Amino acid sequence: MLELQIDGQASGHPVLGAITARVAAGDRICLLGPSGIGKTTLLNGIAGLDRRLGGRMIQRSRTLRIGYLFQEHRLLPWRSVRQNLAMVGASNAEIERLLTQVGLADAAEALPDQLSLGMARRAALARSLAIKPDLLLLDEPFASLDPDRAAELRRLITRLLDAHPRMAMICVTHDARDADDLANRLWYLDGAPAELLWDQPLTAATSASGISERLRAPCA
Amino acid sequence: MKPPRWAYWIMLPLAVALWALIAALLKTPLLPSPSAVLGALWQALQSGDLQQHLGVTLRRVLISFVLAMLLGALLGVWMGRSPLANALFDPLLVLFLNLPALVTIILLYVWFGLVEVAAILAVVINKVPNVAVTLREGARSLDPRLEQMAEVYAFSRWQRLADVWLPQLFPYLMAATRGGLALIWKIVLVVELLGRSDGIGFQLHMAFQVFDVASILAYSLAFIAVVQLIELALLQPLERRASRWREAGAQHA
Repeated sequence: MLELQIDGQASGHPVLGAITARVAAGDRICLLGPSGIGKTTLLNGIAGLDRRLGGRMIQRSRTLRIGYLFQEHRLLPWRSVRQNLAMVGASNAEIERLLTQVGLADAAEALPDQLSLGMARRAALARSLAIKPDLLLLDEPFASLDPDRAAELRRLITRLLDAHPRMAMICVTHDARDADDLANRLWYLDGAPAELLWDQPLTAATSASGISERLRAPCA
Repeated sequence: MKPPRWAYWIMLPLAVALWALIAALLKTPLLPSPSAVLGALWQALQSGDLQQHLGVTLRRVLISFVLAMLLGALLGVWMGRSPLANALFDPLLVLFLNLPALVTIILLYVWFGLVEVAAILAVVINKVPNVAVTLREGARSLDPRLEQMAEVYAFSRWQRLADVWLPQLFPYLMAATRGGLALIWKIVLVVELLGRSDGIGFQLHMAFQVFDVASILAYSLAFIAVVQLIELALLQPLERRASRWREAGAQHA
């Protein structure tokens, strides 16, 4: 289990306030909140990329493996898709399997800049799975894709999550409908400094779309 | 717009023709004709002098080039990455950038004597600041997003250096190499002229003492040809190979 304690106020963090949350295996969390509120900052903090938070803010086992799909693909542009996956330690057989899963079996030898935006994102997704993560971080995976490509990617991610039931996921999105499709839990981040205003499981009765409507209304 | 190919072949032959014409009119050993220079070149080749001194000079260029690139790259990348290192070394860098090569050479010969170590050291000291400044720019332009990626995916030190940093630093390394070769071989000649008893610089010195202009021009031409050969046979293919991935993006866009 990943225990998440971010105390931005104590460390003087400019964006993040006191945030306490637990992430258990199999959690599929969608992180919603207004633009620029600190959703990506929180993901970076969880991934250990925010030096200002220090190591003690996030309690996690040292062996926790995190796969991170950044907003940009962040593949090495001078290496082929195959080499990019090999770089994080995937064997040849695993690379074949992963690329087939994300529909890029034919693009293994292509350079990242030769791929379309959607293909590059799927290649980066394959890389984030190649390290066999316990926790998958997705930062706006559907941004700047046309509706068909976005729906396709949503189905792909759902399939991949179903194939790895122990893997936890935190997905930043600005569209509550993504949460209804992907998540079993909703985080809502708001305020300055940002805090988790909402941390609830999603059920058939409480849809993310409904909750986010309520949260966006002025708080009494 | 691309200029026609023949445009590259106008000025050089014209200059040679003009030189031949003036030489023929003046008829003085202080301006030998092109054929006399070729004769001197042939003679130096026949006697083996040219090969021997060229070899010695190229060895000095190579040793000081490798040392200067290594030290300069380390210093430059360190300064580009660490504001503290930059604050510490920047004043020194400014000092050495503006120190005339001749001063370094004279001082080192005075302090260490007319020895090989002093000669190499003088060239290295002259070149390291230039390499450091170029590589500092390169280190500052490293993409922080790829740094984060390498951090998350726990790249080893070696992977970071070879697969993340080196491809990004490559254009800066090439710029430092080009500028380096051009500068270093010129300084090496001065070093040889002032305090060594072999090498092209020493031969130029000997020719200067007897006003043997034909030999001076012959040695210069031979050296220019060798440096151009390094550019065509080594640097350009290396650059083409290493920047192939850039074309992929250009084609797609």
